[in-house]
Amino acid sequence: MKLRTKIPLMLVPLIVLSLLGLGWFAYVQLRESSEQRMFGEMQLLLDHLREHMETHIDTARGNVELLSKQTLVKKYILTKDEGERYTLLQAPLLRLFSAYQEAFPEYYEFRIFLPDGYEDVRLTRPFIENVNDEEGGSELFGALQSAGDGVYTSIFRNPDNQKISLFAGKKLKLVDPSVDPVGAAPRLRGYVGVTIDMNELESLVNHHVITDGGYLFVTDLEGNVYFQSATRPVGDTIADSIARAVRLDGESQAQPLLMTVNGEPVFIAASALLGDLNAYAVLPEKELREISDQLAIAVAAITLFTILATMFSIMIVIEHQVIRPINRVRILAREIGSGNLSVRVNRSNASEEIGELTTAFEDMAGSLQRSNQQIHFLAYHDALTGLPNRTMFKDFLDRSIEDASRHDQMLAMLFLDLDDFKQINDTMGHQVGDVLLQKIAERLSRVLRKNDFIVQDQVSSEPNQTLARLGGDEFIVLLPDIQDKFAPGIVAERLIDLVTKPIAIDEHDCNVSASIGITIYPTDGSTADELIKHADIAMYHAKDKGKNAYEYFEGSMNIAAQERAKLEKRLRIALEQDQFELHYQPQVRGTTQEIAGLEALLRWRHPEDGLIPPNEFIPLAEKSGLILPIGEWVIHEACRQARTWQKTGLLIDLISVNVSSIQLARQDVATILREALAESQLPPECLEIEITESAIMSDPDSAVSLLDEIKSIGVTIALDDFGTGYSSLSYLRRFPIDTLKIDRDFVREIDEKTADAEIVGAITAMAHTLELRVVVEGIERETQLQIALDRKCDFVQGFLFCAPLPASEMTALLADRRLRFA
Amino acid sequence: MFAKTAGKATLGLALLLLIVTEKPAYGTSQQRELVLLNWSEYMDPELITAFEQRHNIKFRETFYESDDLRDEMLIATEGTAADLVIVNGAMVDTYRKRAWLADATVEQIPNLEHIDSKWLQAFDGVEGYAVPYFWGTLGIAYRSDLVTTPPQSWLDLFRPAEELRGQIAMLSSQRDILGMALKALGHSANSADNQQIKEATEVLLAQRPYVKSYTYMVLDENSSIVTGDVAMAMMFSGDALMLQEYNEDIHYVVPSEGGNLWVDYLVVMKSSNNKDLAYAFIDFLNQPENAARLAEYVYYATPNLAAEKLLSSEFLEDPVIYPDKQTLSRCEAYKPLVPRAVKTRNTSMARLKNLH
Repeated sequence: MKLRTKIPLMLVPLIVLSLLGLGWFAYVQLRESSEQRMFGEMQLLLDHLREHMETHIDTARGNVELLSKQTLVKKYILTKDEGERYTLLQAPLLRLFSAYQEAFPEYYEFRIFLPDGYEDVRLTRPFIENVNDEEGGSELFGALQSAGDGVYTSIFRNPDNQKISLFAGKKLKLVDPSVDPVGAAPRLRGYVGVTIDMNELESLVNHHVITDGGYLFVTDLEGNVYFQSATRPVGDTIADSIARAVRLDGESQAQPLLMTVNGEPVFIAASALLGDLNAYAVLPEKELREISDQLAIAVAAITLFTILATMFSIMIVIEHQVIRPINRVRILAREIGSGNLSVRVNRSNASEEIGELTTAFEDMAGSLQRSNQQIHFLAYHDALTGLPNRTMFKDFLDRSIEDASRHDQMLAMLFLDLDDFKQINDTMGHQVGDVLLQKIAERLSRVLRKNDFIVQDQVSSEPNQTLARLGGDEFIVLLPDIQDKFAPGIVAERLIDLVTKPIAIDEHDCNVSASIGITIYPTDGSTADELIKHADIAMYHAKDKGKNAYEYFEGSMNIAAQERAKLEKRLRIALEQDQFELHYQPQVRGTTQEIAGLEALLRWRHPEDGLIPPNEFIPLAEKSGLILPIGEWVIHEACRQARTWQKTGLLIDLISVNVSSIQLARQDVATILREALAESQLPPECLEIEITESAIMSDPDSAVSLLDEIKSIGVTIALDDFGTGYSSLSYLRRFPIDTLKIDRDFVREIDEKTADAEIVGAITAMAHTLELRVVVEGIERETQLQIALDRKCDFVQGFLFCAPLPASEMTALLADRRLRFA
Repeated sequence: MFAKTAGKATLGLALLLLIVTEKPAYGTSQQRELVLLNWSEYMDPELITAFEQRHNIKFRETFYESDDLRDEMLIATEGTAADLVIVNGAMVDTYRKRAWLADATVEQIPNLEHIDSKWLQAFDGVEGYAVPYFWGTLGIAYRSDLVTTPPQSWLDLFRPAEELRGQIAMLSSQRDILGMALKALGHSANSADNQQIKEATEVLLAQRPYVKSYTYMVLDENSSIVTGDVAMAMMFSGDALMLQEYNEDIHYVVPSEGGNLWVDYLVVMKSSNNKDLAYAFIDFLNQPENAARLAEYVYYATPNLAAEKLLSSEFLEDPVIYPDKQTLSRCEAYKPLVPRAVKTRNTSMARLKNLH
């Protein structure tokens, strides 16, 4: 169920029930008050009638009393002579009556009766024909006669006009001063009477309606109807039954009485009026119910309206305050779910819970987006330099090739490799190497940018110049849509210049150079792999040609690469088929010229190609990792040979073996040495390993522990090619080194350059203070030897004494115990 | 002729006088006052002045405009409203019976010897109590310039031409109105026949819409018949002649059916404290030269035979003042009626007046 339905479903019963309760309460209250009001209205009407009657009768009494006191009336009635009465007094009396009538228009008949009932004076207005002026026998006159001395009133039906009228009359009891003695009792002389119409009461009864069905009527005490509603005449029968049921006895009835009249339940209120009349107000119960019903409908309508209005308001409030914000959150969530992480929604009130939720969702989307970008970046970029990595570059290159193929364009790829980076790494450490790579990457990408070569990491964009790092010190630049084959060369030159500029690292200036291989699509390959491979080959070609240069790929380079692969294959075979052999070169003690030791040197004797020089296969062996098994074989073979010589009585003090930095990094050299020593039974002190500076400088701490372990075996350690790298004397103290072998570069022209001789002398002096032996190799001439000896070098090595010789020849030489010059 | 002051007698004025006369006003200077209840313009002021000077008294007139109102005044005061009253012959006996009247004989009034005795026989109760004042007729006054045809019959007044609607003036006394209506219908003005009275009443009710007023007309230039508001009126002969002085187009006619021959009498009220002066005044008026002068003033025929001799032939030959015998023979004097007839007439009149 949706919230839009659920919230109203929870609220509506509460509201509806409370409003219904309120409505019911209001209805009951209103119904009661309206009933009371209706009853009150009935009572009020009756009171009004009664008051009217009282006033009417009181006024009539007062006027008749007044009239009876009028001199003219008295004179008239005291004038016994009929003629005199009529001739002299009647006209003025009539005028008096007329004056009264002017003041009281409802007094329509004025009369003077003689004691016998003769109607002596009569004035009517409007004129009413007199039916009979002998009233002596009439009921009214009888009543008047038998009434007291006060004003007599009676409601009667006037026989002259058949109208229900009020009669007010009074006996005229007078003393005739002209005849009677003083103090005589007044005697009845006649009567004065006024007949008053009851139009006002009649009209009240006629026209007063309580409700449509309610009515009034007035009866005499016998229940004869005198006045009744003009629109709803009650009729004699019903009036009679009502009058019978409601006994008033001159009292006013307190509460309306419910009774059935004519089969219909009605409320009846009644009141006794002055003049022996009873007034009844009738209200059908149905009417009251109708009023209640109307009230109920009104209250129900109001309640319903209120409910609807309230519900409508609630719906609007819920819709605006809850549903819509929630929907926005839902849309937001769906958008986020479908990957649109940059979505934003409108919200009216961020401080609300839903607003906060929306904000949280958006924040989450933002975080997700950043994470995604990070992941994407990591997947497609090089962590060190931030450049696109190989994966991304391959993707991009594939697309670029497709584009170029489609548009018949050329594109170029520049494969850049730093020259001798390995050496920098070896001598200055990986951290420096990494910084260097970063700086170069920065430089390259900056210059590419400066020349509008945009670094592309958005694969969706139009292909453009792209710089990527493939790994190690290899960078690659893609130049799409080139116009000719010379353009990439120009770019390559600029890049080389850029790299060649000194780079400051830790306050030192490093000088590096780069070699670049260039391939062009479609001439140099049709696939990304082919183009990269060929560019690689071209780069090597550039290196072979002396580095710090660029080369376009050509077919021969491809062949050279194939040759290299073949060589690698042959190397494996050589290892398997024991095509390697060790040649030995003696190290001669400077002071005695005796052979102090032998350096074992690796040689490859190919069955068909003959002896292959080490520089042709060692780098390849190192690159391919074949150096490891080969190096291990070398150690074992050297130990075995040395022991063999010792067994045959040939005195071999020391045999030196070259250990590559790759071996040190990737092999447990100490174990290999122990095994070889154990296997050959060669005393450890007879074995010396030669390592290069770069091999230990890349990770000095682990190198120290490794060398300490080797030293603990008893094997001595020589530092080879000393003087070309850091050549720092401080670390010589840290490492457990026994021998320094000065690089042959210092020796080559030692007899011609005094500086070199001085360097050799300084190194030797310094080494001696550290109690290190110093070996000078590459002595080819006598002059060289002499200088070396002058400089107190401990051992010398070189062709001057002996070329490296195979074991068999060396055996003979050792047996002879003499060297050529010894 | 000299200018006359207008006298307006209304009910209100009558009531006022009623109060005044209840306490007879003696002058502060012990000057006696003689009060006469009279019609307006029915006394020569110069004669009054002369009388006042002769007796060093104050003479005051109180006016009434109809017999009924005069009666009412006197009833209210039981005859004490005045010292002297001018009353129509028919009522003298009623007043006498009411014991309101003092004697009026030649002993008290020597000049009564000049009075034609026939006027003392004319009504019951007159002789010894009332002194004839003037006599005249009741007829129709009309504006010859305002009516198409001069009235001949009472019916011309009671059933007037349509053009005269609202231009009819009537007197207000029952006997005059009903009496003349009866005569118009060919009955006696003294009819006691209920049916005839009823018919006459119908005539009057029918005439009512044409009637401008039921009042005694003032007798000066403001009179409505002078101004032309009224074109035809029931009027006493002398009054018509008096008004004629203001407008020559006013004419008087005794209708063919005959009118009322009336005689007015001077009576001295029994309750008067000035009876000596009252007698003296009546005697003064009946000196032949004074009586003649008064007749010429009021344009009525005098019952004073000695005065008649002093009157001009022109006056004596005026048919309005002295109608010919034929006319007089058609005229009726009012006779006392049987009481029930009076009652019937009163009721009819009340009905007529109640329609106001």
